[in-house]
Amino acid sequence: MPDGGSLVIGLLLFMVAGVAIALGALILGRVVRRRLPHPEKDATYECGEPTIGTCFPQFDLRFYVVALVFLIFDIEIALFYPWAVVYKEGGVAALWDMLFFFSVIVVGFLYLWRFGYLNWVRATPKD
Amino acid sequence: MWMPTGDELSMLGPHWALVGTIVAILIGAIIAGRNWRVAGTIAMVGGLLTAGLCALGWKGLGTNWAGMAGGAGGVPMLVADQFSYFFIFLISIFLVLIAGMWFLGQDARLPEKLARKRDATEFYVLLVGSAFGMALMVSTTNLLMIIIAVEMTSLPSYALAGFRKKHRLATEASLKYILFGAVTSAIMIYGASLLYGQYHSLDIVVIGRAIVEQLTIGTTEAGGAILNAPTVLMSVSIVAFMIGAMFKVSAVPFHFWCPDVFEGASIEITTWLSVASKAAGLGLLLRVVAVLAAQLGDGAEQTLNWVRLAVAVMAALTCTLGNFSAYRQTNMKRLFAFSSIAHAGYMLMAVAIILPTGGAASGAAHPAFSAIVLYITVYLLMNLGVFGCIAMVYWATGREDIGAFNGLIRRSPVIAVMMVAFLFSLVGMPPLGGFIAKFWLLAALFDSGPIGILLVIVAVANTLFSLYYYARVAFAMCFSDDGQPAIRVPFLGQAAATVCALAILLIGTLWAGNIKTFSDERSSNLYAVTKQAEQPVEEAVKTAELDFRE
Repeated sequence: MPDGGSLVIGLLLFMVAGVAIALGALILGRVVRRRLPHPEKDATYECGEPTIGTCFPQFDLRFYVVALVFLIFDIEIALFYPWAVVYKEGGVAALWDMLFFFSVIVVGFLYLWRFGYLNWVRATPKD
Repeated sequence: MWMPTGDELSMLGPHWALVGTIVAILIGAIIAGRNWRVAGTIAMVGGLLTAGLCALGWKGLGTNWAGMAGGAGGVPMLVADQFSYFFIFLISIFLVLIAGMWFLGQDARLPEKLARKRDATEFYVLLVGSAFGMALMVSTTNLLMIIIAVEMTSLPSYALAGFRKKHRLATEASLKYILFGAVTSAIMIYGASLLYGQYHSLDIVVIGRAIVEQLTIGTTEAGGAILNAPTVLMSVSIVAFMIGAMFKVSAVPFHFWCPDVFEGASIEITTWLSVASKAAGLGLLLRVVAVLAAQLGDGAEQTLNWVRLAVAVMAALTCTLGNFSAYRQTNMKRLFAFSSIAHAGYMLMAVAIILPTGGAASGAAHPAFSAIVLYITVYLLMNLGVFGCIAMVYWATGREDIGAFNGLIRRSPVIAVMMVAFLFSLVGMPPLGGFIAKFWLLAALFDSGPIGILLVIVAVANTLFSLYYYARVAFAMCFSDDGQPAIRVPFLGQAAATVCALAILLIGTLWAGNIKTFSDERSSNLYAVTKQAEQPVEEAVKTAELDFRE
């Protein structure tokens, strides 16, 4: 275990090297490369398509809800998989464990369903 | 594969009750639709159930570990003892009171009245969710679990802070809270990763033992270990790790979110964050420092000196800055945000002195533990009272600046009198509970050596400073009547404020002895976690790693 002094020096060296590598690559590129300015080069690259509008539009909030619903199933898959691998060892307890977990998540999903968050066209209440 | 035993499951009863409450609120909403009464009632019943389970369970409860990865002696996930049960009790009782406050506020003519009614389900789910995070926070010594618990507390709190949708201040509060919380969690997780990298364990008990092994260079004649000077990396990683809890407690310099969030959030959330978030953060800090100190034993003073100094300086700065910033505030929520920062400072002072001075070996509790338990209990009542009174004035007048309190003694005598009681209890005047709380805190500080005595001086000076701005509110209520009309306050609200004030008065007088015994008992076995330390470090690490591989 290094003592305090060499640790601080080590950290400093690490930081200096980290900055130097990033800056060095940029500066080297600037010195070596040829300069051929063209307006096309400054344009935003969007898969080769001409861009439309600004890059700060307000996305439809419904996309976020879809993302959240996706998350529910995503987490389910992520935990079902290792569970299935060790299922034989776990026995009945593992079944109840997963059923409990699954039902909690399903309640969340039912809640979304009940209040129409799954409908793409949805009436929004006025304040 | 590890499976929980029945004992483990039953000792986590309060945690189960809180999870069950969240699910029950959702099921209630699915069945009954968006009904704010149903959601609120379920939340209140769930909170009461949790508190009841804690109160029934804590009698004679020892230190119980749950979720041992790798069998006995492995890395436990959760711990159920009197200390964690007490904090969960406190948090769930507070949850019930906040739910009640939301009920009362429902009758007020607020601009957001309709939205409040409609979104009540989400409000209660988020509220209970953050309460559950806090319950996890106070009952774990596992780095991963601590990180999950802090996030579990924070994420619903961010949403709750911005719960008044389309309200500019609330949105600002929520954004500031998220940004600040994200940065402090990043620092905390970085500290945790450094700790794990050095000591190859997620459990603070094992980390404590690994630190002792790393630093031991010999033994004294009596058999105690002689420790080398601590490494810088160790101190830095422990302090970085503690920053997550410091953020929850709103210690300077991590307090910037506090006034803005308190001002922007609706008043129920302000009250909730002002007590529950601080209680959970303190519970976590206390446990982490106590466990480390108990593992280090005789070497704790020397090894953790740097950490202790950092906490002491933060505590002194927190209460001084909190009190001075409160001077010029005219918004009541902001004023009491700074007041709550100052009180967090007083409580942090006790964290700075809990390194054992021979106490860990004999199994006796450090007086600072019970001082904090007592302080947080009284603080809950005082703050609930103060914010309740502010809420009732806000509901009646729509204003929350100090001018709305002018002449309150004529406009609503009950509220004004109770408010004065809460204010003087916050200052720490006898015969109110705040005095007893501060007395035991200062006594614990005074007995703990030079750092403690310096902190006593800071605390006493701060008490004097704080008198001014608390008295300013009392002055406005009693002596600067500008002829505003009388206000109507809900009867239940008046009754609740009266009960709070009476409880504070009783704690300050008749119950002073009982509450001291109570807090001694609740905090008695914090050091006892040492007993888990039978297994040598390598084995504990190995079993944990094996378990991961399985």
